[in-house]
Amino acid sequence: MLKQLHNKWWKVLCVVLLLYTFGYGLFVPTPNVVLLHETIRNLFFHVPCWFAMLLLMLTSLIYSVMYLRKGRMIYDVVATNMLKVALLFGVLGYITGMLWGSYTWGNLTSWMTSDTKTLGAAIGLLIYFAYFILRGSIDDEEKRARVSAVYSIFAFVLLNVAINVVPRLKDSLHPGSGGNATFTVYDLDSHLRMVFYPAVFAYTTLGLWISSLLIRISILHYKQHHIDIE
Amino acid sequence: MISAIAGKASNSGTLMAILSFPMLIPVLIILIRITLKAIAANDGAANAQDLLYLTGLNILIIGMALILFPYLWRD
Repeated sequence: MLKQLHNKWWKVLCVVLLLYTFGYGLFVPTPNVVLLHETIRNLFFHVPCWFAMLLLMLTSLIYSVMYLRKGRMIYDVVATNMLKVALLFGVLGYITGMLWGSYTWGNLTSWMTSDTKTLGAAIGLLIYFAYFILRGSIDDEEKRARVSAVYSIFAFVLLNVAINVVPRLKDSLHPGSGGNATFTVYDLDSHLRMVFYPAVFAYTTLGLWISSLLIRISILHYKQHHIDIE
Repeated sequence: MISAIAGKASNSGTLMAILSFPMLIPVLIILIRITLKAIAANDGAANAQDLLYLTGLNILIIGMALILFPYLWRD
């Protein structure tokens, strides 16, 4: 997989689509929805963060499972570096969500502690922060890789329960749950979609790009110590 | 399960607390809600749903632990 990532075309595509998102995303005509109004543009910046985070975590999960099956160190390197970038996107998504919520849902303290999905996201991010604390406290590399792979599989399931399953069962202020409409209802002329899907793609490829750089740095680090991990 | 993970690390006492805290929050939230309803003397019908969530969550965690524990045990 790393060999294919050396190609240039998807990086160019990523930059072009990011420019498109941040340029056209600010000028695209919006459906004038009550309460949301112009803040609906945050759809291009907040939601793709979570999409990119989930996709990176899914890739990392696959590599964790592969590590447990095959036991090659390279899988562990890929999994943990992808999680680093995934957490970055998670934090960014949380911050943009806070900004958005402060304009549409009112005072931060009133919904931060009560909205199901917000709480779930906070818990999920905490679980993943604990992952890095866990990695930092084990010295032996083999043991660290195995234990953290097990923990990350555990964490992925719990995170998805927290942000995808529970808010659908309980009420949440977020769209798509508790009788709230999803964005497809507002997006009658598909203007939002024309920016939203490229934005998701751009954010995900940006995450892949950053994590591939991190992975290559880690591999170099191993090579410096004359350890063959391929 | 968490203690098995934490036990592999060097300073396992502190790590145990850090790792288990986020995992315990959902369970605690549901338990607090059930307790609140119990104090408010509801008819119990509203509690059934929360109890269902609690059992679901527990089954999920135990199931994951059963699948993943062998990988930790093998040393």
